[in-house]
Amino acid sequence: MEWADFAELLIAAVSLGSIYALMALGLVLVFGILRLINFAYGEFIMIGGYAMWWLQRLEFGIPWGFVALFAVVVAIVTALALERVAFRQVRASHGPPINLLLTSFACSAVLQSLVMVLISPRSKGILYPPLVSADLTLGPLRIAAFDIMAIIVGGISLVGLTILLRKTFLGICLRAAADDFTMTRLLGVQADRVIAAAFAISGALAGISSVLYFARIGLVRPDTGLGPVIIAFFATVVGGIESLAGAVVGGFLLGFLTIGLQVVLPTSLLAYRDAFTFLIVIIVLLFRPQGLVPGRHIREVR
Amino acid sequence: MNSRVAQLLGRLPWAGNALMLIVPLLAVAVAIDLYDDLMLERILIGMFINLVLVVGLQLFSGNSGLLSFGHISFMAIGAYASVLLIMSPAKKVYTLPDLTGPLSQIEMPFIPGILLAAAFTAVIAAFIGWPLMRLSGSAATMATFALLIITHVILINAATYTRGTRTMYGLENYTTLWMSAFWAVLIIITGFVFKESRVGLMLRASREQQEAASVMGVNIVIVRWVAWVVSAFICALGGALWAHFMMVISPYTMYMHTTFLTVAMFIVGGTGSVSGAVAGTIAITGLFEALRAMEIRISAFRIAGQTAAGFTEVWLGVAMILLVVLRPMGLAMGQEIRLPARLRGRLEARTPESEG
Repeated sequence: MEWADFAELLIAAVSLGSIYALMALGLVLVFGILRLINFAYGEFIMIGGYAMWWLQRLEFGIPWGFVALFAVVVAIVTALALERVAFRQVRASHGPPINLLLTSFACSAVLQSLVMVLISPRSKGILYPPLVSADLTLGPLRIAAFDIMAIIVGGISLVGLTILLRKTFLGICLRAAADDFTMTRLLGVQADRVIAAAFAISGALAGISSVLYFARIGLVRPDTGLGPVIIAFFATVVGGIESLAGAVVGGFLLGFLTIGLQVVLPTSLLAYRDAFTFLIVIIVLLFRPQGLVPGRHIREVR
Repeated sequence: MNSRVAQLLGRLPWAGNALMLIVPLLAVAVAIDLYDDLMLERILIGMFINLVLVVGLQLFSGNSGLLSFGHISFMAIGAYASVLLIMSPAKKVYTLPDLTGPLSQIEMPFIPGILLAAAFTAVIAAFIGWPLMRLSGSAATMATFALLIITHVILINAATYTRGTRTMYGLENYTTLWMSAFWAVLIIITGFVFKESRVGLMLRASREQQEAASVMGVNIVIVRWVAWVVSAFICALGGALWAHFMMVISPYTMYMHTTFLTVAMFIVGGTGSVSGAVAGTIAITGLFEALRAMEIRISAFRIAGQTAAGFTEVWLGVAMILLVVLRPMGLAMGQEIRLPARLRGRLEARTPESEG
């Protein structure tokens, strides 16, 4: 393989990895505090896609930055609304943690069927500026402008999230709550607020990744959320569900795996690519059940 | 007669609980059989098949405490395997033209066919489960979820055996009302037998206190593995029954949505007991059918020019959340349903060796 081909693949993998890392981070933030694998997370991304479609249909030629911002805002609002209406009520009833999982399932089903009934079961196209689909030529390299955009947006979001978590009061509360929720509450941090904040940030990350994700696929359907949520799950589990760094590692690993298998696998086996990806995931889990980046204290979650 | 029942209750303490579940179910089956309404009959058959699946899931997840998203892959494997074994060679020429070798020639009667299909699935589950049962907590759940996706991809791509993305048709309707009722009852009894068995007891101990059970000499991996294989057998049976009830199957009908519904039935009922699995299945099936019936009525009127079609899923989701808010420990609250105290007292009074 030419080094240029290799560099192009590397950039594609990094770009895909940064989208996956963003998705995984949104999931792991809520998991860290609530111990909840939020199945409805994919629906935040789906709703973000529909928000873009709706705004573009409403008014043709609306500035694209505004469309992207709108997607993020709608995803945040959806996340906050679900937390308030569903998750908080279930949490208050003091059932076993598995009830929260069922709630996230139910929320996901409700959002999907609402979209299906109120909008349409068929896919809707989302417009992106022509620059996104352009190819840039850099010496011998041909790079999709989209990949550059994904890497930049992903990088900025990662840095932003790190600053938020390390330097602000809210971020310190969030990290403390993920570490030991009971202790954090004893120290006077309001549980409902921390959890709502975690959902809001999770929604924001879902919104940002929806802008990037739909630039790749261009269409949004009621069941679009399933793909991202599965990716995010496996990235978090493989990376280490106890740690934020793990989510990033898992996201990039999955991105590299997806691109790598596409190149390595012979055409006859390409249809089985997802099966291979998840087989590798199982193998990683068998040898590192705590993930590649284990949390500081290993706590079993049932 | 009564004393013989009482003796049975003394020896099998769960028999009373099982009777409380089985007798009403059979009564409903008799009533619907006499009433002879095709629609109600189909709903009931569907519910009996769901009972097989959910009790099968409960046998593993309820006793081990490991939530599995992978059991619907066993349902799918069982369904396709049973079709391959039972369908006549004359039909296979049309539905599976690429199939060669003994599989294209074989034609088994229904019950041996589904049993062999389930045994085949159990063997696959045994191989998969051996490494998988070492995992606990969310890692185990995720690994079973990965299993669901892998099975789905394989079923879609193994077109020679499954027709791939296209629906498999040409199945005979073998799963009658009484066929499904028979298996549902048998599986409920299996659920109790397993729960109270030596392995079941050790598995439940490991669910409560993994380290303590381990110290007491429970080999956690092995007891989990036994439950995994048995429950895979049961879910494969459920899939085979379902295939010969629907008469058309595709990999998409045994994937995420079915997983979501069965897991919801399992959780809403309360994870710790067979009665919970049964209660959850009845509740969700009942809710779903009631909502669907309402939807058909309402859309016939076309309220405000809008059809209400598709809202069933929305209300079902809302109802599930309400159920876990109102009954956080599940409908059965982790307990088994018991014979009414009066009846129990009368029976126990006649048993010499009963311990009360």
